Amino acid sequence: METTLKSLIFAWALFASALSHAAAPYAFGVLNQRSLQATAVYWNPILNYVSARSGVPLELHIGRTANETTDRVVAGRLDFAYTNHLFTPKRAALGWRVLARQDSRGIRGQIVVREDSPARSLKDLTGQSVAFPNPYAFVGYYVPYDALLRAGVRVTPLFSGNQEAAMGQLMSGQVAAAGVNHQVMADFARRNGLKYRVLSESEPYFDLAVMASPRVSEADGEKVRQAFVGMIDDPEGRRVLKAAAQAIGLGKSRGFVFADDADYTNYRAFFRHTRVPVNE
Amino acid sequence: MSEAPGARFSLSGRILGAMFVLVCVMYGAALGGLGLPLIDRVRTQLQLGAERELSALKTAIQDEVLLRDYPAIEQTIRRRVDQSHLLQASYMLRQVRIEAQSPARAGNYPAWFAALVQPGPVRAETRLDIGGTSYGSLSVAIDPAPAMQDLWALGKRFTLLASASLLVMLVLMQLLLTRSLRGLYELRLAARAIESGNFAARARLVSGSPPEVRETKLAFNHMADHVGKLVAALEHEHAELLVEKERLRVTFESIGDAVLVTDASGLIEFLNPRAEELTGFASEEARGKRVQEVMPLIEESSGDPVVNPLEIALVRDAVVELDNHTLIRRRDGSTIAISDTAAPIHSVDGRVQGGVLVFQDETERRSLMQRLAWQAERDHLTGLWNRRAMEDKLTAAVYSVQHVPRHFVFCYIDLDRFKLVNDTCGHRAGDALLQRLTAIMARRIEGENHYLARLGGDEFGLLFIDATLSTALNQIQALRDEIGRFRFEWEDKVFRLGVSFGVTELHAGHSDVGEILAQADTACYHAKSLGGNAIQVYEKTHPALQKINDEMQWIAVITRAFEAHRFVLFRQEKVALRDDVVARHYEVLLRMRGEDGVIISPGEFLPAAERYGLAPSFDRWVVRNVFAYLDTHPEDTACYALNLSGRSLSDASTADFILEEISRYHFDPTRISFEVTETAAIDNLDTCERLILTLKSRGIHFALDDFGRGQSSFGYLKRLPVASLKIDGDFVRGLDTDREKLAIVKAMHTLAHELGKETIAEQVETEAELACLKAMGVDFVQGYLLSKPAPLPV
Repeated sequence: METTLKSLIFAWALFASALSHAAAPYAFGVLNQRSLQATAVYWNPILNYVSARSGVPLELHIGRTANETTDRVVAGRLDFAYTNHLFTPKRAALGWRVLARQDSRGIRGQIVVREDSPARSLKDLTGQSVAFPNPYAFVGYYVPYDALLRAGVRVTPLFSGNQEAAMGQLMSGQVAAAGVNHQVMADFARRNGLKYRVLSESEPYFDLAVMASPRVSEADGEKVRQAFVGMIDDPEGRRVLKAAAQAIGLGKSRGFVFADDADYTNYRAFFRHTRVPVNE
Repeated sequence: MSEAPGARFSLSGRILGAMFVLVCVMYGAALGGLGLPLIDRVRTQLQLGAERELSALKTAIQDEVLLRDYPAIEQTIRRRVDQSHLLQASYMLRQVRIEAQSPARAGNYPAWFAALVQPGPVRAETRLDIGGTSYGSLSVAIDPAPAMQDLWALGKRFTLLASASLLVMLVLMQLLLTRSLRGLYELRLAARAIESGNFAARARLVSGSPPEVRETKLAFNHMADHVGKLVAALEHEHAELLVEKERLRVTFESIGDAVLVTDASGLIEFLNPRAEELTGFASEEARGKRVQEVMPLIEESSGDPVVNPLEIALVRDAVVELDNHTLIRRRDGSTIAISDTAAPIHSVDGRVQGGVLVFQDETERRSLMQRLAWQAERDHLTGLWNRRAMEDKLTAAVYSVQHVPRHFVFCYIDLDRFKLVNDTCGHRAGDALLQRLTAIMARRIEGENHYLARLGGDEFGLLFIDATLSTALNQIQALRDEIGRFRFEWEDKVFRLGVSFGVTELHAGHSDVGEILAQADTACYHAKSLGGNAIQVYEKTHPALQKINDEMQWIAVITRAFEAHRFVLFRQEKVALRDDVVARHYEVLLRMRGEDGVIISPGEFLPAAERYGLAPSFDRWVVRNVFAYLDTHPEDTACYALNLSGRSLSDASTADFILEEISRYHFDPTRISFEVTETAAIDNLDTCERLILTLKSRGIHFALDDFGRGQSSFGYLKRLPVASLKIDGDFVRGLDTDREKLAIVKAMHTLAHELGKETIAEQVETEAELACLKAMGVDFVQGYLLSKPAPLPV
């Protein structure tokens, strides 16, 4: 009874928010980690919840690729973004601030091969084709490729477009190894029954951050942050998170926690020292 | 009668039509059964196609929608519309509306088909919701024309296939029917040939024809054989019927009976010529009329209309005969007495087909019957009632007396000396006398209470009804007096007649008519014996009447003796006094043996027998037994003389009887002779003369017995061709002492010899008598002196 009452109240709040901000919702860009569909299926419920809770209308905007999404950020077409592409030196200058992040112990960059692959170390990948999501992916490209370069292994990078596409090429045997986000890889392998072997793994990096454009007011930014952070404590927020996770096959849902720019210092440090050319 | 719907269609037409209709119905059913689901299926497929197109388009634009790349969405939609059968596709998201259309394809099918199937543009629409966020809606409209075109093509192929199948089927069926019905056409030809009279025509049996037709032909041919035989038989019977009809026609036209034939409703169909003659109507004129119009019947005495018996016969379905007293009123108004018989005519199954009336002109017959009836009761000479009528009256009177207190008196009347008139003046005179006397008596006793009849010869009977004896006697006395005053004149002779009356009064004790007649006769006999012209009333205790009555008692005795064969034959010889007579001569005598065995002389029973009519039986009995004796005793060569009574002489059949008996045996009939008394011969002069002449031709002679006893004259000897005279014994006895007797016997003998006849003297009992007779020259003598009667040695 209580749940039903709360659902009705939430629906009323959502309706009222839609009436008050029907004319200009904020564009919320999400970096392409999954397919467009999966991204929309996962993020639209969360954004709807956050919009309702924060009273700040958010509208999902996705680029065809992660790079295109980042390009939209750079072009100023987005107001919020869930990304980790804005910690390169040039993009950090755009002034976007971190509001929150997923409640996880961080993500790691991995070089993985199929379990039946003869490759046992990065050296074994020499001369092989290695799939990467795109040349902008942090833990999917910069971190594992940096590891290969630091290990002195020359491979032929193949960019699949996004994380799961690179994993799909690995699964189908088109590439010998793939550079992946360890969390996305684990989810993919569980969903598709893929057994793989990790040849290299980086230090943990916090996952993508909910960031706000400098043109978003502090108040709206704070409302959005509170809404994200409060989801895990709100039954409705947990239900939304759980449903979103189940919709894309995630094993468990993760909520959002408070974050700020300090949580992503290791990103900025990596870009200052990496051997991989930074695409900005 | 109206023709049934479709009767003008041939069998082929009916079968082919039925097949056509059947196939069309099946086609329609198949079209409906298959086409409607097919249409539904097409509609479903179109809907599915639309859904598929929608799904494909949705998939195609899904990323662009998420990317909000509206130009890409428009491009994708347009490309899809151009490449597929989509008539229209549109994407709408709030103010954004992206739409692409393509013109509908022109279907190569008629408008009615499109109207019939009417799928219309098939639309599908979906909302683009991803993760609970609406990205707008997408709708498509698919062009049904290609599917309609396919459906139309399929329908055309199906129709073409069905038409082709129907055509092939009809052609094949027509061929099959033509081949199969050929046999029926041949049957029809054969039937028409038979119908036209060619009974030899048969249906030709063709190999390869269907067994049903072959069996039908065989059955038809068998039927034709049978019909041929029947027709032959019918023609034969028809010919016979024609002959029979002609025979019947000729018979109808030639028979004396009138024949009228009607139909079942009683309308006349036919009259034969005799019926035309009797009714006055020609057959053609009478045809169609009712019987009553043509031959109205009326009752003979009353003239009342009589219902025609033919109408009754038709109603009752039974033979009806017309009452005897019916007349037919002819067309000219005259009437004819008819008798007729009406009967219904039945068909073989018993139904009434008509009626036939057969009638005869009864005028003559009825007149004849009336005459016969009159004659049966009347005496033709005098016109009086005859003996039978009197006996009937007496019977009724006896019955009446026995049951009611009435008085009847019967009188027996016998004319005295009537024979004298007959003998001297002939029978015509006798008849005239009887007629005159009858007229006198009838006039004298006019009235309803008298009944006068002629009982025979000169005997009359008079019955007084409801009259006392004294009243009757008074009238009888008056009658006797009047007859006594009557003088009968014939030519130059005048006769005075006497009448004897025997009277008896009827009473309840009379048992029958015979007794009454006997009493009256006895009384009359006595009156006559008294000299005539007297009236004698019968009295039971009267001595004379008692004697006569005793004679009657003999009748019963004689009858019993006769039945018990107690009569015996005796013979007495007649001795010839001439020397030239070789054979012995006997007279056969009849004796009766009493119940105690004692022989009874004929003098005791013969008078009664003769008087009461038994003599002829005795005569015939004697003839048979004597003839049988002669046949069985050839050693006896004697001649035998048999006596014949007066009654036998008056019986015209006596001669035939004797000749027939002679023909049965083989003795010489010339050994036979008969003796008849003078009285009997004279009483039956004509028949006696004929009898004598008849038997004389066979060599049988007659003797006149008891000659001289009667009152006749010698004139009879001239008429009666007898061979001999037997002189009565009264003249013979004592002739030797009585000169008168001797003179009479001499005269008789002389006369007989002069007439060429022999003489026989009987009852010769003395030698003196014999001597006289011998001296006289008598030929034979008979008597106890010479020979006593003795039994015939059988």
